[in-house]
Amino acid sequence: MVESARQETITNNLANSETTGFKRDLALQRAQTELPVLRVGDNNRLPLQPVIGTLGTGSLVDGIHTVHEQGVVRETGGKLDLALSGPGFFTVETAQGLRFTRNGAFTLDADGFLRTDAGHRVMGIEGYLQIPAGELTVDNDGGLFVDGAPVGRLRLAGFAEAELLSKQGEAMFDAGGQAELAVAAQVKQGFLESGNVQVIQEMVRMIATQRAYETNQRALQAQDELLGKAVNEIGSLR
Amino acid sequence: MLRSLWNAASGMRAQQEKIDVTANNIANVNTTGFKKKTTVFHDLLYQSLERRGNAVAPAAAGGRTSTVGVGSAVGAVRADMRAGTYLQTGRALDLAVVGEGFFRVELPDGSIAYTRDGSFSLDAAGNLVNAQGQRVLFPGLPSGQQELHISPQGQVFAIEPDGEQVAVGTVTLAYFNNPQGLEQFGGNLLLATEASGEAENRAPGNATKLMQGYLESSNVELSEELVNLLASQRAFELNSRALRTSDEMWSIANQIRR
Repeated sequence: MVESARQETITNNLANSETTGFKRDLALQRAQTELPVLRVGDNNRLPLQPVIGTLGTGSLVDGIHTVHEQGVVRETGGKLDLALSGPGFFTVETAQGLRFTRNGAFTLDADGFLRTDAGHRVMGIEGYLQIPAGELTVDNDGGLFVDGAPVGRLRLAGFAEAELLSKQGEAMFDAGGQAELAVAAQVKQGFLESGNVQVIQEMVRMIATQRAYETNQRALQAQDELLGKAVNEIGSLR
Repeated sequence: MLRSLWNAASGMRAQQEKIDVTANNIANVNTTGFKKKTTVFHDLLYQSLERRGNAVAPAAAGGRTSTVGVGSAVGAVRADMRAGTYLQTGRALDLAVVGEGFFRVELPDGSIAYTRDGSFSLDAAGNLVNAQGQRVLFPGLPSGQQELHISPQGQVFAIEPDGEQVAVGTVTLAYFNNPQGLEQFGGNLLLATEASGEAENRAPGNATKLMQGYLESSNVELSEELVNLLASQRAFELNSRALRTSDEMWSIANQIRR
């Protein structure tokens, strides 16, 4: 079970190896609570039966962690392609509330508002960002300028525990009530941040997962054979 | 195991679409006025792993639940509206727009399409038409006029037989708030959509220049497209490998009881 959850995480990472702003997941596992094994029938030391060891009861998924490492920043040359260097997020408004993303592949809508490619409005410090026609430049601090005149500033958000943000798809995260902090991330115009999936690492992890799965299957099979022997062969007259 | 299989399949499908887009770009490397497309991937929904029977530790107080994604998909195919290279042709009716702005073409049903392809000619009736024979909306152009001079600011001068230039009007181009939102119509034509907004027709100002005797070729960079193609192929391969591994794991599960 645990290995198959791990495999699901790996295949999702691999499928998103080229998704802009994607952060890879890591499935962690831990042992189930161990049970004490008592010596039964040892009446000499009642009322306490002596503990002679512990018995593991298998493993379970301890949690799926999102690794918020910086992905590779790739040059695209697009005026509305923005990448963040350093920790932090762009703020985006969706029907479900504010969401945070590092996917800076933005576009304009018919009224000149800055939107993500899924159509959500990008938030500035003073509300939506409306960009008039002209030559758009973005400085390192997220200030937007058209023909040199300021038209707004991107609202960048940082979080004390980025680990706790939950994924919402489209490379967006839900803060889940965490307070936004100021960030020192630098905005780079004409660049996009690719996913931070490391293909070779995932590949190795996939092989290890498959083998561990196989090992567990063998153990199960051996146990089954053992039980089969006990049931069918003990006491059989031949 | 089923989800692993579908995750890998969704990755393969997304890469397939990217290869289609790249192949179309490469096929149009010599198309006048063509704008290359780029593919943007999205990750999809996330499902909680905490269900009955799953060996998952419950989230600690204040922690987040363990979720696993369901693969990727093409989120958008975006048009790159940057200018292509300009080629000198010397033909009087070849026009190129430097900067933003589109020529307007009237479709047979009376609606308007927009294009950056300025390889125009005159039809039998003396109207300015594009390569498909559709009428170009070029206000101020006297029909039947053969010799024209067009200034970078869009003023049209008719050249009289004695060589004198007579101003006959000004060209207007269509401008959009969001040219990326224009819909491809084929034949180098684009249509206005809700995303692009309404066209604003005005004379090319200082930001735009018209060049007579030039054509704008496509903005496809062959080397970049080939790199995209290689990367997509490898990513496709990677996902197919993940698919096979998941399949093998399922087969292992099936062999538990021989």
